[in-house]
Amino acid sequence: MTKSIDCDIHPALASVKELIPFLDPYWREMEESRGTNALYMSSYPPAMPLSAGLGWKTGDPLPGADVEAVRRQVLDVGGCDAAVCNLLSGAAMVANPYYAAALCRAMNDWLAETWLAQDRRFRGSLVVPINNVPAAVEEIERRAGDYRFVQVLLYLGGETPLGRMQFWPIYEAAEKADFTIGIHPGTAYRHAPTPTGWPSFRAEDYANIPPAFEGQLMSLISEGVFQKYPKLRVVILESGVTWLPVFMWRYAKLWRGTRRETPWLDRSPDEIIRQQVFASIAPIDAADPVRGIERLCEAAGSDGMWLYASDYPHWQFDDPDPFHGLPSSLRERFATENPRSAYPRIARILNV
Amino acid sequence: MSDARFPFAGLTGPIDCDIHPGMVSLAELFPHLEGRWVDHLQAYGVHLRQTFANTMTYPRLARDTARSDAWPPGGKPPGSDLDFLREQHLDAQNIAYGILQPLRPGVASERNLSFAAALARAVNSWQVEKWFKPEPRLKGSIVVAPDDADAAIAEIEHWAGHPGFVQVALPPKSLEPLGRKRYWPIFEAAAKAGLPIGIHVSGVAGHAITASGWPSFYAEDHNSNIAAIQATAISLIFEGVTTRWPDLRFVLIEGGLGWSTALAARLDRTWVRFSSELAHLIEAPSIHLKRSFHFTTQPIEEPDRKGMLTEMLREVGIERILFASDYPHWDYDDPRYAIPGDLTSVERQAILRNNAAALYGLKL
Amino acid sequence: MKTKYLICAKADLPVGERRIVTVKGREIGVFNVKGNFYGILNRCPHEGAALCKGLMGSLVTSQEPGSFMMHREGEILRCPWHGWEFDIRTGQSYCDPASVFVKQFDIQCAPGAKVVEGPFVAETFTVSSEGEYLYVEL
Repeated sequence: MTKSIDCDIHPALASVKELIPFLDPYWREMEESRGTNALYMSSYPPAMPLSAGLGWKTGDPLPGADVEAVRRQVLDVGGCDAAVCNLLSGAAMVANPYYAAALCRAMNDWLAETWLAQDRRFRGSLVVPINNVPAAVEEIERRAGDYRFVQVLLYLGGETPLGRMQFWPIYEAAEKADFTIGIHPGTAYRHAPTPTGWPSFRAEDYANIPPAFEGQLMSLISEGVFQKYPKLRVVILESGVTWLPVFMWRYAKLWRGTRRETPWLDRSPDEIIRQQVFASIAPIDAADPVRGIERLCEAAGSDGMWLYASDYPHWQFDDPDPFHGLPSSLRERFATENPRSAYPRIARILNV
Repeated sequence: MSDARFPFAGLTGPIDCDIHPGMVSLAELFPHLEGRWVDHLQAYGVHLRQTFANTMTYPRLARDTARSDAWPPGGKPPGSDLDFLREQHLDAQNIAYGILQPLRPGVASERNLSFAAALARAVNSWQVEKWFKPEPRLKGSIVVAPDDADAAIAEIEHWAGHPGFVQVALPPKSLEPLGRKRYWPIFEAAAKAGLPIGIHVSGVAGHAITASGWPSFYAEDHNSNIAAIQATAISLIFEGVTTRWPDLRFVLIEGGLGWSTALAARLDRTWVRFSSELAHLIEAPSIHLKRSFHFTTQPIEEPDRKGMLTEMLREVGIERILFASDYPHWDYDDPRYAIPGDLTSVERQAILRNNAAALYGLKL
Repeated sequence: MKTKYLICAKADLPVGERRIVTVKGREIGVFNVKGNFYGILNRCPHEGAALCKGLMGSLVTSQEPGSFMMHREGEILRCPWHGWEFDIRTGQSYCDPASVFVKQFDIQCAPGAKVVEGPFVAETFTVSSEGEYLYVEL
């Protein structure tokens, strides 16, 4: 029996109030007195069509908040044996580093109790306070023995590119415990989302996501993160993905002429990407998703990088099965083999 | 001698859509500036949103960003000597026309807008006197400072109709994405003058060069130019500029072109999903991308597998593509070797000269 | 069967200098690197640049991010255009390795300095000296 894995689903945190039972007394009192609202990310306002697909709506005020509905629609109807829960909450982006650390710890505890404990098929990503690296490391170490957590989730738009050395203790801790690093859209908007400033529309911020991924990948590679942490795996989530091969060509070309500035790179950047980077294929920026995937494999020189994901409940596809024309061998690869390679911690419980 | 990698060693009179003219020193601008601005330039220099007074935040790995063989005899800066430009490039490559893109001084990003207006006039007059007059093969771009729309319009109107200028230059790294309303009067002026907009990788806008802040290395800075070019194209489409001026053409210069296929698909998908936010956009964005934009070739993508580059060029649309060398910069593309050999000769001629001749109204 | 062609007197090519000569229609750069003589075709295998007009430098290698080790001072020729590095002795380029299309997971961190050889090799020629003169063999 195949064991397919959905690499990106989004349970929703309806309100910071849900975290109160998981906070220590100081933060509990702070929350109760401040009455912070939901800390939804600006990237995903809850009522925006992208955030909540029509077909996924369950009548809940917040799509993705109802465990039963998600279990039914993703695990049972979707037919997967494991689904990785990626929380998209702005709580990890809070400026106060202590507040961010407390909220992240509480979110991971909330996820464990509210979701992971309800069904063996749910897996989790740890959210960590990117602006409080020691606390982030502590959180990774705290959960290292809990194999329901398979990934450390980082967001696309922070204050500093992710390859920078201040973040290396996070990668060290992740590599040691075999956690995969996942990068998902979501920006703290500490910087303009483009190098030429602030677009007018949410659609425009969304359209500009692939270059932001290029910037982060380039940072991780050029700073030498993959040399320093040779077992590290990075997953690019919800990026649209068809931009990636052209970026691989361009970066390889650029590197040949600028090698001297980053001489620790022991192989071409496109090699590093083929070997240590994965990408989810929902959504896919291609008029024909099946042809798009085939070309992706050809252009990137690999079929081992691509991961199936539903991206529930985000409304990316009108067709519930956009890849129905794909050869079953490739479907198998994307839904079972590749996710296993990308997430070594998943196999510990799947017994495969 | 025949070489399997270089099957088309014969020259075909290309039109080079990106050449960077240089100055021996900024003193070359003095005859074109009022006295007070000469003093200002000498005392204060060009005032940009960057770390260093006289160099870019991410210093280039090649001196002057140039090919190390591009220094004219006597050691003058690359691109500053017309005779050497002719010898090393125009004559050597049988260039039919070269389109100049002055990058220094950084007029478009100068923070003092009164000074910027004076600098723009000076740089444009300098193009005429130093380059167009003695060398009929050279054409150029009307440099403006876009953050003062009135001054930019005045500059365009001043030069409109001059046979040397074939486009208006705008930077893809500006204070706001170029599609924003504050820049619309400039598009109106360009459209009225019948001039395309040449958007060459440039600009010091003060925004972090990635969406997640400031990276460390020159290669990362180089790649951020592609992010800026894409953001500019998206803005021009989504804001409605390409709807309002459907005949206005935008040339995206030095930003590569391989990314445009994935972007076209992403924009169409985005337009459907965000249809209520983009209700003003009647046609699919990919139609706008195909209709209103041209791309120059340099720096040409170099996929590993044979045939992929040709496939990519055809997908973008051969008629949209214009050859550029980027002389005298280090990542220069040679017209004899940079364009793949397995295109048909009609396709090669289109890219090397015919598309540019049609767009810029140049007689061949 | 190779023939020797006279380039110049040895005294005319001091240490650290180079000359570009045309032999049988081919432009060849002749370099004096620390008293040893090397010949290399004046054409980059990438896009045909005049390779021998490039700057000479050292080979930079690294053991980890932030470490910079210099070797082979004055022996690495950098193409004047795209900056590709060529070993003056062998013509071997230093950039990306032969592509590998199979996904690998047991990636070993190479101990010590490691630079991978690139796909392009510039054509080199034997330069010999006889008495006071230098010759190149074609």
